[in-house]
Amino acid sequence: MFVRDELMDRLASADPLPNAERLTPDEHREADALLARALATPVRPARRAAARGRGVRRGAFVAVGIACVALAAFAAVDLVDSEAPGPSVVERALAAVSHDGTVYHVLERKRLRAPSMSVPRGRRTVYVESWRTTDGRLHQRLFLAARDGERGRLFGDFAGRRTPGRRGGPALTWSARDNTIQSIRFGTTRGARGAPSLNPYADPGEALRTFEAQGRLRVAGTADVDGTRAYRLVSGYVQSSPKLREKVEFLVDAETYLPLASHSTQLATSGDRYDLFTRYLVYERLPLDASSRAKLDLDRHPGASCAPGAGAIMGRGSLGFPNPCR
Amino acid sequence: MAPARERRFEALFRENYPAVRAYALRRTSPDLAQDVVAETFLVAWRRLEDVPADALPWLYGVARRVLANQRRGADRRQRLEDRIASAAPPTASHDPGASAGEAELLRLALGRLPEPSREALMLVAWQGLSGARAARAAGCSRATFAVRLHRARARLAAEVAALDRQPVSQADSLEVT
Repeated sequence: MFVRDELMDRLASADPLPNAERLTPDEHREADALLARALATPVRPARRAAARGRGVRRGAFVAVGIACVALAAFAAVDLVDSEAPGPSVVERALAAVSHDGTVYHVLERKRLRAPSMSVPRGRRTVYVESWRTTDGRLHQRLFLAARDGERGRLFGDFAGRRTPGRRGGPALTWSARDNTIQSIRFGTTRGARGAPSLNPYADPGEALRTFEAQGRLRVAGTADVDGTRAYRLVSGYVQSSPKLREKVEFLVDAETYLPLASHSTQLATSGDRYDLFTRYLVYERLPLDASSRAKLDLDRHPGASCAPGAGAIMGRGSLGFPNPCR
Repeated sequence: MAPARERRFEALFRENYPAVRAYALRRTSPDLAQDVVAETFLVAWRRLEDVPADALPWLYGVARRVLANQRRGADRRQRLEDRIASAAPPTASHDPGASAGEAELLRLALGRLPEPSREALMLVAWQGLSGARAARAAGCSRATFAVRLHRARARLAAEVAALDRQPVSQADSLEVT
């Protein structure tokens, strides 16, 4: 039909972007992000049949359609689409970490990168195994990394319960250094403004809920985590305390929506930067029964001594388990 | 959402994203191009049942309408001339000494054409479409497109000839107006 001639060949050679169809790795990532946003956008059934044969109204339908597309595109960027039917990726991720009547069992490997801090090499990576419930029970065991990078020896144990309606609560902590149990009270830092990802007692669910409540969480594409397809959920920077800004990125399993990894970045007003990389090696829901409930208590530590005051709890609330120092 | 629908859309997306992105990049700024591509595939996702087997011309058609909507109220011609004037020169595979000047001349001439003519030429010369596919992307019949392309060629040749005859200083000044 079309005969290529010299003018058309010259015009083809004048293409300002002759390689535009070839994508760089960054552009591939942009494409993945766009694909994830599109797939996460709820589909409303088209109602084009009703518009057929209504020529007079066609302009109005077109205008409404354009507005809908624009609104949908806007919603797809933020993906906090609470008005739309069907849950979004963010909502599914929140739901996955917010089951009542469940004990969440999590094993995470945390690696801190903080050029301004002199962290001993052996303490840059720690393993944390925890059991928690959505009503505030928490038991954490902390392990140093062994020389081969795997989980090494236990160096801390912690168990407590958040007081209902509050961020903190009474707890007991055991230290391997002196084999002693102490009574403490845990919670977020004074002045914190709701970005709890670096709070050692915060769980991914709390971080996700906090960022989502602030409307900061959005889907930014997909990624591969050791062969598992994941959605990337990212927040913008949040003023997490008077001197710190923080942003968080979560990778959640594209099928179960449970966390696979996270990366938190903190910027201090001094210019220092802290990066915390977390890989969730296990993230599972256990049915709440006698066996899983027992995991919420502080471990028995044979021969452990009790520090003064360990027999009493600090502040209001309850531990949720018998105090071995009482 | 049905997995089959997701799989079909993902295949459609992977196959056509680079071409749709390139289509948008050749017609608007990189920032706006991203929006055009996003809206185009959002439409495709919502209307997946309407997307034909040969999806690319259909997607170009959607992208063209999204672009037109974006440009509403703006001076299209000025935008395109700005875009063309600031476009990157061809890559080193071309002979820069011989072709860079001509490429600019052709892009300048192209920017002076009415939008339908320009679109017809770009679909054929830069998007590499031919026959019914280009017509579908342009949203018209094959016959209409053939006539449009024929006229567009003639207009382009006339514009190139006119620019070629202008003194260098005048041609240069046209690029920044």
